[in-house]
Amino acid sequence: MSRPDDKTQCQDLQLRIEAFVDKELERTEATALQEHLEICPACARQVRLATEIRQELRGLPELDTPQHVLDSVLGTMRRNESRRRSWLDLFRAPGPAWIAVGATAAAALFAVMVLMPSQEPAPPEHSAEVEIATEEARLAIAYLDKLTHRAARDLREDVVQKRVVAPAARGLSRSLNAPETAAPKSGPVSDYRDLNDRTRSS
Amino acid sequence: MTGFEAAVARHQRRVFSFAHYFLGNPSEAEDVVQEVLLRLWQNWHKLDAERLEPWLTRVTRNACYDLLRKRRSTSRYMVPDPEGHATNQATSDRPDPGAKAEASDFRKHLLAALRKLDEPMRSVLILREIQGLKYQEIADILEMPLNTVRVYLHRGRQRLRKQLGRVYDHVPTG
Repeated sequence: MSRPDDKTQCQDLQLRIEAFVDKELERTEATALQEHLEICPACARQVRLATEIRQELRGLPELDTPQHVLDSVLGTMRRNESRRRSWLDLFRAPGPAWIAVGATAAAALFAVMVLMPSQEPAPPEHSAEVEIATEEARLAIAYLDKLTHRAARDLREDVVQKRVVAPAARGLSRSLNAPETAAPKSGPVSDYRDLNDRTRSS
Repeated sequence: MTGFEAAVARHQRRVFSFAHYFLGNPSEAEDVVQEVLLRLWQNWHKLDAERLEPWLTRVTRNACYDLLRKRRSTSRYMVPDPEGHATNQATSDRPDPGAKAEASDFRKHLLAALRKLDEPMRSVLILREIQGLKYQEIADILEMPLNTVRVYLHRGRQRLRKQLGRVYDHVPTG
């Protein structure tokens, strides 16, 4: 027979109250504890409390999710599913739809290529000036070339005039007006006179 | 109704109830439901219909636990109660659609004590005592041995008893 102040049994029961309430103890063990409870009001209170807790927990209702939460979640998922299906339908579509897709993609690609800035480095902003300068240089070279030609021609004409024609003319007029006593001088004039003489003699 | 919608209709109570009793905050429980249903949607084609309920319960429990840790790290929401325990201020301020469930004074204290339990005792108690799962089902969901589930269950109920014993003067003798 257990005594109310038997602390060993009380402590032992504290560890087994839940198993006792759940009827999980062996029959002999359960009987011994039942006898202790009859003489120990503190342990009996603990068993009552454990029983109340168990009953209260098991009596708690399952709660419904608020409808607005379900509507929100399911609405979002329906929209996502609808979008996903529209894409899938496009991929499953027969030829003409694919042609339309291909044409749209090609048009988009073309638009991107045309509208997007080129990846090559942009020409410098003063390219027009360079072009003008190049043209001016070309004109200057052409002008210099023309001047050179004219100068060369003038030089040739001048040399011939001064060094050939004029002396020849002077020599001719002198020879026609003066006696041929003077010794012939070398040079173009004398050469020209010699030539003139030879021509005349022949 | 699609298969997904049927599954939502069938399991939404279990998900929301677990979150509600675990967190004690209806707004946070709603967030958890949204998150869990989104994950269900994302994994819908990979899931085995027979394993759907354990999967949902595990995902729900993990989402609640993550939220709890996040809440604990946000100290501004935490106010110490006279006993030195941390409670969530938002819990007491917001209207609770499950208020009927907490109508009685004893139930109110019981749920407060439940929310003070550490993990995994809290999950084990909710799954076993409120949602009525078998030990083996709980062991599978929480990925722990069967005997460990029993130990946590008894230990959790002992702690509840101690907490409520203080309130109702059922002082444990042990």
